[in-house]
Amino acid sequence: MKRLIHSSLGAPLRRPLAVTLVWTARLTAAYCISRPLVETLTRHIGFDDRHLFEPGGLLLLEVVRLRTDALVGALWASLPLLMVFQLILLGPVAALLAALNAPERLDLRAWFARTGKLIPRFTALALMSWAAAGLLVFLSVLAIGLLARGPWANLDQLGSRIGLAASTGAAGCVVCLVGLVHDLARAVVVRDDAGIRESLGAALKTLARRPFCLLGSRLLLFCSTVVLVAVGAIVVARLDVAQPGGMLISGVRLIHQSIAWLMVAGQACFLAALLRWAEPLEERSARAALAPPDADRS
Amino acid sequence: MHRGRSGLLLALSLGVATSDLRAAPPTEGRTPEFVPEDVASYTLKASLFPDEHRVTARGSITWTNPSASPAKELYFHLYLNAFESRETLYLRSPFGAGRSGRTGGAPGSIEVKRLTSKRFGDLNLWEKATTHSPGDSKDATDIRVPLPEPIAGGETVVFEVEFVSQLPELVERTGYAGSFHLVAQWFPKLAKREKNGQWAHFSFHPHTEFYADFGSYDVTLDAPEAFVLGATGRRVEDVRRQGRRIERYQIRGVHDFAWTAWDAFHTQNRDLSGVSVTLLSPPGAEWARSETWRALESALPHFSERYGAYPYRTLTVVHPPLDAGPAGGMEYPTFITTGGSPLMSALGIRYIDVVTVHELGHQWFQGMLASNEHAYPFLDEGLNSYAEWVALRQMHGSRSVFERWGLSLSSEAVGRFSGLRWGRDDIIAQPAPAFSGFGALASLVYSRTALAMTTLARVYGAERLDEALASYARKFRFQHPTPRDLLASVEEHVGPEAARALQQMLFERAWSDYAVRGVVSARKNEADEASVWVSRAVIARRGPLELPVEVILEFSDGHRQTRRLAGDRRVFSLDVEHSASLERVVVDPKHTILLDEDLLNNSERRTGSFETNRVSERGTYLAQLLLHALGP
Repeated sequence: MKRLIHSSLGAPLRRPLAVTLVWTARLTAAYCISRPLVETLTRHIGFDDRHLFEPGGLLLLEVVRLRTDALVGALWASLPLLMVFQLILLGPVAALLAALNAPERLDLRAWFARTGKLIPRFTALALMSWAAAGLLVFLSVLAIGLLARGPWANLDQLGSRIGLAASTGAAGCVVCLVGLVHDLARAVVVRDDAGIRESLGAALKTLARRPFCLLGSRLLLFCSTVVLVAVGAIVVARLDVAQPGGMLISGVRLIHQSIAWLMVAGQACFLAALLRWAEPLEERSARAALAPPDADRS
Repeated sequence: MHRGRSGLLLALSLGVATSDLRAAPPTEGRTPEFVPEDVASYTLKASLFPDEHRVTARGSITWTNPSASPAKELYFHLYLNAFESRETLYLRSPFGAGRSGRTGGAPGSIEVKRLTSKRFGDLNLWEKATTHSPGDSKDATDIRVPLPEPIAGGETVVFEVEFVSQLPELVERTGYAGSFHLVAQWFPKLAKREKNGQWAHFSFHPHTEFYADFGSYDVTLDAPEAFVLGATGRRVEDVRRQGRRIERYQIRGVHDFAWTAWDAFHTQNRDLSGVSVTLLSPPGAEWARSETWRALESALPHFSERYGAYPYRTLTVVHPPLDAGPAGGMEYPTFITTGGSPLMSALGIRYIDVVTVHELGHQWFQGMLASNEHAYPFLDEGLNSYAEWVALRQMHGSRSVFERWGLSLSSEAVGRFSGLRWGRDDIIAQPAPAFSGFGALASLVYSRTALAMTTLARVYGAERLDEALASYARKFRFQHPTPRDLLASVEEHVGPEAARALQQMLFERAWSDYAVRGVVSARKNEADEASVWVSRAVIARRGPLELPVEVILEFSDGHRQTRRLAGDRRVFSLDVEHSASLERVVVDPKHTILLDEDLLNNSERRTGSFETNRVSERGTYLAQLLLHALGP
């Protein structure tokens, strides 16, 4: 048990408060982001919302059919909220990484202070990562469009579908790599108090040195998340939420929020592993090598 | 019965086996099986050359003039010519052809080399044939052949024919994709001559395909030995000769013949309710096979029970390969094609069930009830969609189209989504080419007809409507029913009100929308706390359909009252006295009127609010998943 707690897998057990902080922040953000859509949906129906979940989906599709414009408008209204909360949520993620990096439990003031110091660099890294991902998506769409008009034009339907799936998959993988580099860089920033350029250099170096380990872990995290969500969906599908009853919906909420907490815990495990695996900064390694044996005791 | 005997004698004289039509099953309550009279029969020998995607064929056509008036001309449908250029009626639409949206790759065509008859001194009649469809110089799918002398009413003439069919790259319904071949509309096919002596002939339009006389088919197919064949009818001969596979198929009581050939087919055979069913599918498509069998096992006895026993000995079901998608979802006598992908199945979409049940239903609604699809497409596609919904509901309840993640969709819900889209813009019961596009036709003919029928079933009783449809299906089996026949059956079994409503829905763009317009409640004596409450619910009926409807009144003490409105007024005021106040009014709580244009205005609450915690919970959770995926 002790070994588990001290391994990456035990990270959420060592820092449950930090995991709960991220979960709470995401829950709050999700509640706010979903408000425009929820309000629009409920404003336009003259009945209890349980009827939307009745088998057959007659009223659910009716709302979509008759209130499409309002629902699309609500989705657009959620978009700025999503962007703002993406930035706000960097704080809790920084706090999680700071907690995971600390050998002992930090007192609140030190924890917040460390987190506060991290936020500017986290924000810069996030903006760079999103810009890179956006650019890659744009270039992928452009390339797929050119391929569809060029070499794929002579392919049959199946061939062009395979081509589209393969190139979309490849673009998705590249975007995921950007996300992985982003996470690695954040780990370096937290662990070594590095600057942006240093952390990105170390992240790329780590990716080059341990590609299979990193990609395998990322894939494992992705798969475990998918399994969690799927299991939750299967369990919830067995509860007939179209039936009246507050207890029922509380049960569904409990299941979903347990899944959401476990997803954050999974992310914490992965980030803890990145804190261990990230390559040390080159200058500091060199300095450490040149320093007298007891230099770091000071 | 008389017509049945004469048909049988004619078939024997032609040397066509009659055993493909099963004897009348001795099931109680079923009408005796009616053997159709042969009007247009074909004996053909066809060879497929898969590398060139070409079929060469020769044989005979035996035609009996079914009208009393002499025929001075013949009309042939050469539907493969629809794919010979982008200028044909089928392909010249700027929006692509039919449902596939494709405009064609390699072209297809049919060339008749010879049409002769001893009756006309072995003269090649085709030399006098017109070169294009009437009034359309760019289309050659509807060809008139003048006769040297008229064929008298009731006279039977045998024609010898020789032709070459070049199959197109699959656009829809017929053609090839790689070495897969779906060979439909491949032979010169006589148009239907009506009893009044008029030819019902038309160019091949992407919205429509069928209208022909019944007859017997005796077709010998010949393809390279490696190819697996499947076809309309019963295989009575299967030999290999000089590297070729030669199979002979025979059938009576059909109005078309289609076949398929592919060197990669996986074959499965099963006996379902006494019918020998062959399933041809791509290798590795186990997911499709199991779902197709499940659908057939449920739907074949279901349709037989309701609309008269399936009369043929065989059924061939083809699941085309993924790159031949436009070959899927088609119906020919005793031969249907399905479709779908493993992804759809994995996502919980019951596409295979839907398409298999739908195409199987066409064996009745088109195969045996051979209505004029060109003039009234709703009689086969619309009624068949209703029959499909009923069959799917029996299989999956209200989760008939989709089920995953705690959500489900029924045929009715999806049908409303599609069928109300075009709403009152156009008429259901109009000729297929009159629709502005396949989207309009799908919405009105497929979905809105089924919605209209389901509405009648729910309002006037499903048993009565089923009886009307069953009676229609049995009475006009192997005939060519018209909308009037359907309406008469509904009037007889459901009532004149229902028949009138159906006529309005089909021919007059009729619609309906019940809406709660107000709920008020007050004490009878304001000063007296113990006084009863006087309440009024106001309900409006919009649209010309006058359908009766149920209303539920809910009071603050939990008491509920159910009222039934006749539907004959525009506004209904329901006044009620009760010891508690009226809190909520729901009109049509069971959603009987599926043509109601707006179900969201069917209920209103006087005070208080509605529960919203489910939507809130689900919305928050989905946003959490999104945030996790984006991962700040």
